[in-house]
Amino acid sequence: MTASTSPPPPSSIALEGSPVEANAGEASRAQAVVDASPKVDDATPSDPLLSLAGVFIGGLAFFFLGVDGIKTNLRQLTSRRFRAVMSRLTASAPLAAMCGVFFGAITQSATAVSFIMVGMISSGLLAMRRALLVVSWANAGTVLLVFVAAIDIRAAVLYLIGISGLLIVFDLIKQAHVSARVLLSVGMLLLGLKLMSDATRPFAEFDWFESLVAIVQGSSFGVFLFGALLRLVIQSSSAIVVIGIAFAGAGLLDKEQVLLLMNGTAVGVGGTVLLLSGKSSGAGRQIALYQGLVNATIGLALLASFYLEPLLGIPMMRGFVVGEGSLQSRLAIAFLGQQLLISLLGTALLPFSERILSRLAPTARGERLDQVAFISAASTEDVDTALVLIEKEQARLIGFLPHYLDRVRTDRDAAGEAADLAPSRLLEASRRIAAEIRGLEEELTQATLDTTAAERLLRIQRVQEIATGLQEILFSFAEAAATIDPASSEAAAGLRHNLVESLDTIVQTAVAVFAERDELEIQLLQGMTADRGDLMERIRAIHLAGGEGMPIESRSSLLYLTTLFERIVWMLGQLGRSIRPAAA
Amino acid sequence: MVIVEERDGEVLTLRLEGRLDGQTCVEVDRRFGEVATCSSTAGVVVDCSGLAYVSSAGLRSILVLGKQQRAAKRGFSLAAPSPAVQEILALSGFSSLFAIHPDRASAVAAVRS
Repeated sequence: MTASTSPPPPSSIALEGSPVEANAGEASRAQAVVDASPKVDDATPSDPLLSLAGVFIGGLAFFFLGVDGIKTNLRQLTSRRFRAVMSRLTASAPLAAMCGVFFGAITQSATAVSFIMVGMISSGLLAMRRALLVVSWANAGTVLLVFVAAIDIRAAVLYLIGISGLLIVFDLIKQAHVSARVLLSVGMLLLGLKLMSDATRPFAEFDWFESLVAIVQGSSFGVFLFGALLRLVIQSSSAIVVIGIAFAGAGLLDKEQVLLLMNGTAVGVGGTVLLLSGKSSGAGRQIALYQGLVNATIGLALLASFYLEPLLGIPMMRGFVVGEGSLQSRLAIAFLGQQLLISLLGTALLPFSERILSRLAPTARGERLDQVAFISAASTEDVDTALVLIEKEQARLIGFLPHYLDRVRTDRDAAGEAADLAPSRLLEASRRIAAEIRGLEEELTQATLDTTAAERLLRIQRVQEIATGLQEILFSFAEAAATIDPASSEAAAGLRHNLVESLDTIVQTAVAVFAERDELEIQLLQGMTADRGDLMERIRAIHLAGGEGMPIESRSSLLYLTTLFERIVWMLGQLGRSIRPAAA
Repeated sequence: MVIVEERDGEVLTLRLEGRLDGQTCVEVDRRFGEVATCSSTAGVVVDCSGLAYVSSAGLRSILVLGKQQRAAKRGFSLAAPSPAVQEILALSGFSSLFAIHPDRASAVAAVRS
């Protein structure tokens, strides 16, 4: 494998100078503008491909780190104010479509927009339907690169990474810390895509690549397939179209073959998104399927139209490349046509998409755990409704409590949205929901409240305080219980079972109290949480004095467990007392 | 799980034998529901002497029956739990809610009175 002897090969190619005439491809050559991205001669002379592979793998790592960072950090950015901004930005279908075009244009990658939308859905910032619309129209936005081929977003991406990184490292704007992390992750995602693209673009300058083009140029379908495969490695359809235009200028491909190469990229987008979302489920997989299937459908439909056009005598895609104007502008318009078709098909399929997608890729268990279920629609203008919605959200949060014990129970029959999840996952979700509830409570304290509403709000705040504390301490209890190996001693297993199952019974009763607000259930909870100091001392004396052959580690863990148990029972009693006036 | 029923006048004794867990409590709940609505029963004793294992699901079943009996102003007692079952009942706070007797006879007598 050898590098071409031509001038230093470009990593990104843009056309400038005089227009390339459609019927004079052999006469005009596009002028390659060489930029400062990885060059073949920058690499080890003996094996430039190895160096490019390194850039590609590095780009892939940046891409996945960016995807993960966006998802993680957006979850922390779910303040009511931020949600309100996102909600306004995507309030109507035209606005959401415009957002999509904008995101597609600035990121130059519908793939990147797809993964950003997945992050927004999983953090509850955006509904699936709106996200699908944004993704659809991001396809149209990516065309900008072909029209303004000289644009290189790398400098902008590095500025984005640099500024957000410095903000984080030096903690310059405390309030915008999470926002800066989101921006840093977006920058990493874009840099990853850019590096992958840069690593593969110099292929065009290799002799073997030109030979490959020469092989496929004999077959229309071969060029189409080549476009699809190229899109799998070069993460930008626009960049491939720009390369195709350059090849047309150099006489390597004719204008119709560039059209087929372009159509092939649509199928390639489908493959790329499906590959990159390989292990994801729920929202991530749904968006990938949507984006992949819509793109692939248009790509295949345009391939069919390519063959049907001469038979039917109706001008279709080929019509774009005949007539006046430069080849570059006509191919750019053809690309715009293709991307608009993708956006329009995506929009037309929206009414059926959600149902079909949720069947193809069901929502993963616990995926919506972090999202508020009731208070998102609450407004401080209707105080009574807002208070009812907070109480419902609190009841849901209290419903998480028994599930901290799911993994240490001997009788695992748990069901429901939070069932059998890792305690750390539950704690994370509960903290987010608690923050949302606190945000609304703070807004309500600013509103004008009558005495009844003010008292109710105070009760809600008290419940919230205890419920938040219970999430933390039940997490500690579950962690401590998990360290006791039931196989280590029969006595240890027995006491662990009794502590876990009895605590679960009391917690279940507390959940029932908040779900039913039944006076008799409240009385039961009061009785169950009565002082048991003497009982606990007796249990410690019987089991933990060392007479039952229990290992010292188990004794120590069980001692800690009994202390936590007492504390939790006391807090559950407080929780029961805090609801009483509301139920009376 | 087997439920052995015996009647001492208006007091119904339900002797639970085996494991009372998430699986078996479905059948137990159904029978407890029928007992709770039976007008000829003045009180219920749950005899725990045959209980080999009880989980929170089983404890909730007993708690719900006790709650229903209390709501209907009828007697309710637990009888003869093994030390392990006695411990889980105490930890669950049942000893603050219901009378727990060492044997069935004393439980029946307490409910009858």
